Amino acid sequence: MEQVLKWGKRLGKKILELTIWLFLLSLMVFYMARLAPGDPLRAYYGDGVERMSTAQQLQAEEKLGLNRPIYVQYGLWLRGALSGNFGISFQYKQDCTAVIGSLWQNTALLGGLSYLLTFLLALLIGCFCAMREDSLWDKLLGKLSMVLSAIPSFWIALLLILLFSVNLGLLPSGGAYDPGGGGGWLDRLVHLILPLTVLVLGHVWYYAYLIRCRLQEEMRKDYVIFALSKGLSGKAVLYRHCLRGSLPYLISLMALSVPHILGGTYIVEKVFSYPGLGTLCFESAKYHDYNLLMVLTLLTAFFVIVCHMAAQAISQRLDPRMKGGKGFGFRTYE
Amino acid sequence: MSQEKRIPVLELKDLCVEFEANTGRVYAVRGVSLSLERGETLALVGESGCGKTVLCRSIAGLLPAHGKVTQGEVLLDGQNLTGASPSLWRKARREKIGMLWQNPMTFFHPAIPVGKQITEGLLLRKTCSKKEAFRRGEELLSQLEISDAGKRMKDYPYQWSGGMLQRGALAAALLKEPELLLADEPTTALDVVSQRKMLSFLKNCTKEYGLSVIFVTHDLLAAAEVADRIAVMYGGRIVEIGKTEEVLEDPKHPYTWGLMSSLPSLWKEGKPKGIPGFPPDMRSLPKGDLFAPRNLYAMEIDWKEEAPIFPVTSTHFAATWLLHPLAPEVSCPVRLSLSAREKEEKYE
Repeated sequence: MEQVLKWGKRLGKKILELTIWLFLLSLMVFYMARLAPGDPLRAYYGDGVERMSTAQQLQAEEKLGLNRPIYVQYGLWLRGALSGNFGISFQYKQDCTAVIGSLWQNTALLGGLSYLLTFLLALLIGCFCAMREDSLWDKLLGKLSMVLSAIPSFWIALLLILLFSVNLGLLPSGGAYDPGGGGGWLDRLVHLILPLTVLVLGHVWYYAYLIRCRLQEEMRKDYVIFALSKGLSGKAVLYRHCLRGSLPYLISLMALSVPHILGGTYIVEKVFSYPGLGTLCFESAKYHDYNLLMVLTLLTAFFVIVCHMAAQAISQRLDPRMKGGKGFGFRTYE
Repeated sequence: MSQEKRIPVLELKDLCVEFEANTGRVYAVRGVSLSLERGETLALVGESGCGKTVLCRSIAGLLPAHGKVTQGEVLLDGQNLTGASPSLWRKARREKIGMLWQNPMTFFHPAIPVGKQITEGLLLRKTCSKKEAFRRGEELLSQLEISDAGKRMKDYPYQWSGGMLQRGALAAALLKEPELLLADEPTTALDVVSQRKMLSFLKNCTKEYGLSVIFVTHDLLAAAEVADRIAVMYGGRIVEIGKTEEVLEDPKHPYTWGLMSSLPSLWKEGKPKGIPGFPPDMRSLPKGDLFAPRNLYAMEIDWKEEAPIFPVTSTHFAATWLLHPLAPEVSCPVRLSLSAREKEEKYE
């Protein structure tokens, strides 16, 4: 019972924290979007805005609620948002949630797959290099990673499109499925190959390098000698002990990299005109589709913060020394 | 008992270890020869940096990457391990060598339960099940006076004290039923009470398991307590070796005298004298005997040539020119009589 209460309290604290962050963020994005130069009416009426008279424009603004001071607009938006009504998208003229609802799976698929692949590969490369520290392979991969991670991902994307879609004609250059195909799994997978490659190639080196360095540090610790003296092989020590020792780090890294990789996904989506939240986000910012932008930002933020909190919780579980105590951990352990 | 020729558990033949450091080559061990009989405890005594730890690690084949055995042989149970394949070394470590470390707190993996780490070595031999290994670990730990051992084995290392962890490390080593235990300053990081406990465990285990031990320490008194023989190291060499009584009661090497005079005593007036100067820089070896600059009894020859090993008795050897027939007679300026120590003990 006490345990449940403790957990409940902790959870409540986290939720409160999350709410505060989201509130502050919504305030910032709301103001910044509205203060940015540009005409939101264009998003709603398209080029028709140019043919509208000033009176009509004013009327349109009033209809969309854009003529009031920003704080009043925010208050109205907040009231709506709290009751689950996030307003309509100017561009699509339907509920924001409806717009997102049809696209978020695409992003989840691309982002999730690239995330998993990135870390799987990074772990493999990291272990591989850590085992062969300063060998030819290690150095070669190090150099390669430096070059590859210095190339911007949109450029790699363009190169790959040129090579595989234009010249070789093997893979589609964009989209999530063939327009007429109906979106079978194979079809989707074929469309995912290029964006996934770009995403993984862009991120994997950085993480592989971090993991390699972390493992090297771990491999120099005293416990390695203890383990070796028991007769374990170097590989076994690496996988059973060093990897275990760097797991909290790895998990935190994975959690912290969520926004990074998500951001990458958004860019890559745009290049491949992949119908997902990234493209949507980009366009809503570009066309001053305020309501949609708000929902997208908050959704992304919510996801990132929750991942971060989960990472914290997990690394506390993985490293028993992190439990209990405050600050420097001088409080006694039970 | 059959009178077959007994193979020593460990034999070192002119072992040399060098390190490649940024600032130059370090001659850490320079020609160490010794042999260790079954059930025997040999104490390696010497200052920091004299090569004790390196010697220990080279016996287990666990030198750091930039260290290398350049000369000599390590024979474990008559099997030459010099230049052996990693898997052969692993086998040796798995079955024949147990090790203890100076700082048990850092030698345990912080995020793996102690019990798992202790039984890991035993499990590698695949001779018993996990459950059985755990049970044997528990049994051994309770023998080593860890109360509630079964429960404590599920703890993480930070929940154990240093003394307990050292006993845990001892258990990890003993579970493998090794023939040789390399104890690298197992008492240095412990307080006096835990030290005493540790020493008595070591002594008992040697008897019980017929274990041969190389016991590395700075502490002459600890060495006197557990060791059958004492080897004094200086500058990567063994400068004096002999039975414990021989070395402590009739030391021949001036360095051993120095070590003895640095012992504080409750019963003597004044401060311990110690040895002037510092251990030598093992990168650029000077000509002559390495101890010469600190040797109050250095003769001309000491500055020219390193002393060979002179026999004192059939079991006692020392590398000092003072034993040369032509050298003047000098007697040991300090007396560390064991009886005085026993007197101290009585008042504890």
